[in-house]
Amino acid sequence: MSDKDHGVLYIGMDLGTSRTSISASNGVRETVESYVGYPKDVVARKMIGRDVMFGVEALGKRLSLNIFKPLEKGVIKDSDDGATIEENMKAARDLIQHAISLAKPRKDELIYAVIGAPAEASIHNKKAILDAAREVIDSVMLCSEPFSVAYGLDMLDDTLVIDIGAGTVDLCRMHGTMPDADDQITLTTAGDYVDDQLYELLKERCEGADFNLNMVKRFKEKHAFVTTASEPVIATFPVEGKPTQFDVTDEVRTACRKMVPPIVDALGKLISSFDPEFQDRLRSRVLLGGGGSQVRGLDRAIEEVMAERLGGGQVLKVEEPMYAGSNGALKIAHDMPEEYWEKLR
Amino acid sequence: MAKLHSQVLQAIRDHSFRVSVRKLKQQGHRRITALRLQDIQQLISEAVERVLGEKDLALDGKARAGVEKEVHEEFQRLLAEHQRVLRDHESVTKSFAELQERYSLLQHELTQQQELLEHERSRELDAETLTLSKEGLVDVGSRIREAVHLVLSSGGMDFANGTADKLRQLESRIVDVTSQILEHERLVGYERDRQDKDDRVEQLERRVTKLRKHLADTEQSLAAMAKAKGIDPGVASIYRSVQGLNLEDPTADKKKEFLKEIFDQNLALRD
Repeated sequence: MSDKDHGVLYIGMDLGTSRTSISASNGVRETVESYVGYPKDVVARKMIGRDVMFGVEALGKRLSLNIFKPLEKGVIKDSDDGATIEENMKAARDLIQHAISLAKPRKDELIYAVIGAPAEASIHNKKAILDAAREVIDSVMLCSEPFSVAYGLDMLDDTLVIDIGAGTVDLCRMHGTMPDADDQITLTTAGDYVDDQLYELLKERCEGADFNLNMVKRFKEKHAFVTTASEPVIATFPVEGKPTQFDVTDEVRTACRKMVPPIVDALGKLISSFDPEFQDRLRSRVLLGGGGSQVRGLDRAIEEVMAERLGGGQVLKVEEPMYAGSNGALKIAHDMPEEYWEKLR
Repeated sequence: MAKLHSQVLQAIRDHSFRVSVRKLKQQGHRRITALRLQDIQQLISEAVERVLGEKDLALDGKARAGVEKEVHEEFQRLLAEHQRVLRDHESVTKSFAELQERYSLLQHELTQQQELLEHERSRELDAETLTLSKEGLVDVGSRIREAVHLVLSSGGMDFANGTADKLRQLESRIVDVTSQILEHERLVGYERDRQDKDDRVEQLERRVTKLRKHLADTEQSLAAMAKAKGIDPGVASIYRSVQGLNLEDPTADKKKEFLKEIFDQNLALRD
């Protein structure tokens, strides 16, 4: 990495189960779905013309590819539907390197990156992420995902961060010092959980219809809501080959609302174990981020259940759920002193 | 098959080059995938054997030698082609890097010239002060002397019967004449400075325009080369140097602690 004398590119990355987002100091912001595909055989390789594909593009060619979703519940999978840990590790490495390439770094610039990773990722996992990133960048650090969201928004005091991803819902209590294990709760009732719930509900509702989990996921991403009033949500699935419409409004609402009670329970635990003098303040500063926060009406729904169970609360939704984590990581990268970067090179 | 092995080895030797680990490090390589000559040779042999086996071809010695020869020739052709592509790529990359360097230099020079131009445009000229060079001082001195001489020799000044009034008149006339000369010099000097400034501004403007054109041309060449050769130069960062925490931020102390803790955790991961 010689002759890197033309500047410094900072990259913030949110490495997620479902999506990986990057924000960079050259103004580039990109998101890729966390899918990695490798050609199944030589013929597929020849047809595709590449050794690896990512995101939606990979899903589009899934019949010719072995598809990996290397992160599960926010960490590199130990095992999968037939995939070995080594295969998942390789897919995770390729995904990280692809995400960095999306930032369009120049060869003559130093690249310093902060990657937001789930707090509960194992040391083995963290090292694997760092190793993968080090191959293409000059210096890299990991930090807890919800912390980076709070740092990015300058909400480091008396704030409860809820980061809803596909694999996990991470809750983190910020109180002016670095959050430790007692300040964080991770739930698995996240986006993938809602997909499973909705899939089961739709199987009952749309009898005879032909659909898979992937179709349900896409449908949910477009129509997810939890409010009582809503326009009818209509799904079109083939029944014996004929496109048929189903009103699935209640099913979508029911599945999405299943996220709310576990979140409020976890909020209750974090609030009640906090200094009583500051509990009210904490209750009124709940920050909702992550892809899951885009579910329509989720902030209000959490407030309603908080009012019932915890005596009230105020939920603020981050403005850019897709990039709140990577923007925060970018800010950390920017603020990090030069000597720290140098020591980790 | 032994002959093929030695031919393959020779071909690889002919088409490869030696490079020190140090040089690779200098070029920024941290990890490389190495394939030993024997491994390549083994791979080719195995491929030939497998293909022949799969095709269930029972070849006699002569036919097998023919296949081996063809394989060898094909391998050499591919190796030479690969090297040619590599050379082309290296040459393009080098030219591209040189063009990028030129672009950076032009950018730097343009910034400098623009700063100079702004400075020159905003420079206030001092119309009240008279500045004289050594030569100018000699010239003004001689002109004052001439003027005084003219005053003394005209107007019938009779110093033998001089009175205080006459001396005062004389003094006043000398002061007037001297003031006129100096005022004239001040105006001439100011006009000269103004002209110099205008010339300098015009020169700098011409230079900036020229540099801008060069920069635009170079940018166009870079884009064209990148497009033609499939090179993506990337997007430049807005930062030229490492940043760090803004110490005027009211929460800087707290953030400093957070950053230290993140660093410590990452350092521990590295050990």
